[in-house]
Amino acid sequence: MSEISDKQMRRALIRDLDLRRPAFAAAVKLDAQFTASQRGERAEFRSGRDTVFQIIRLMWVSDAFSAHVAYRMRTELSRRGIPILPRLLHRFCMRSAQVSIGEGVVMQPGIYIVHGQIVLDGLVEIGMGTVISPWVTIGLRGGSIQGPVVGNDVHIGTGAKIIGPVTIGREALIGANAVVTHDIPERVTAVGMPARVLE
Amino acid sequence: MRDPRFRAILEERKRLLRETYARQPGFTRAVVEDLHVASFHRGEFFESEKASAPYLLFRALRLMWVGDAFFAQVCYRARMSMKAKGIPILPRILHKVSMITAQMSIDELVYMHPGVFIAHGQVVIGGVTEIMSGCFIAPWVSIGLKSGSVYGPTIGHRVFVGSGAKLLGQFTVGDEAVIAAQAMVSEDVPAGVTVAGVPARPVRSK
Repeated sequence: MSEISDKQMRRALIRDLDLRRPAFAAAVKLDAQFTASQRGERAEFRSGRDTVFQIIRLMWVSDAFSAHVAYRMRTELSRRGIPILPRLLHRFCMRSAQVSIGEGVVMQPGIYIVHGQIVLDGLVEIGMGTVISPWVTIGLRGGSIQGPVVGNDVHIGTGAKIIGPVTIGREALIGANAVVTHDIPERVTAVGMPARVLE
Repeated sequence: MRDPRFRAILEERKRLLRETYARQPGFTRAVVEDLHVASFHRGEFFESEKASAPYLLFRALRLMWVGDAFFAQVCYRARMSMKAKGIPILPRILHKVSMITAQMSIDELVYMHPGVFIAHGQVVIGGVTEIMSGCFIAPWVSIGLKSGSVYGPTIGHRVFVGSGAKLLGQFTVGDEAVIAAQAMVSEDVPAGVTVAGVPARPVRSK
């Protein structure tokens, strides 16, 4: 059996991640609908033209949404093997809303980033219907590249940190400034530093 | 617009925006007060009441040059006074500028009295929130909403908000209170009291 080099491992990993990522147009449409509904605006788009108009309007009024669309475009371009442009789009994300999302992150469609100012890194998966508030870090603990897996419809409060290979159950609520280093079950509220589950 | 709830929310937002625009302070007065407070906190105190207009302009331009946050704050003031006058597009560009220079994201519903010091930037302020004069806002602070309401806190005069503090929900912070670093506040804070922790508890009072 021949040795598998680090480079081959990395390529296989990236290919695997690319397969798990959603398609650009559908993902942006769902993001726009979820963002609009969370902003208290009309979330039903009437036609294709209305969808495009609403996406452009949201990109104009919301820094975080423009960064979000740039991130979606970046993953689409890097999947197609286009050089340079993905890195420029990442710079745009940082400039417009300080959204720093690493290459190992899989964001399912329909996620609301409230204002920006977030860091997501490592092999992280974020489920549909998740709300990510400002100053949130979802990332790694030293010694491993496996990051958290966040379920669907999770609400992550302002300044919360979720670090290490943990799983957040669906519809969980992470309180503001919580530091999560252990698994959180479904449909519970976790607060504090380190985070504990409220009864 | 099929859902009547959305219509009600939009109408409410429009009404709140009209009210906020109507009470915005004048641009010049706001910037002069901000300059006064910022200079005081930076240890560059000067008597801005007695200063001449060109000297004030010089001080303001200097502080805009040396302080990212002050530059962003002036952009915010200009943006709000333009919004109040109904000028389109430019306010949004000024918002982008204040995001790029000091990561300062302040919602249009916020009423910030003249004379607030934002130390380095990196703040998110949202919702129907009122911030009185003389407040000190450190980096990584969020002042805003809990989900399900558009009403944020009211922060009294000369309150110190420490680095990384989060003030979320509808409540009042009394005058000269101190919010410690990384505190998570969601209930009333009496005047002159220091609160710390997640959730915040009083640790000291004057």
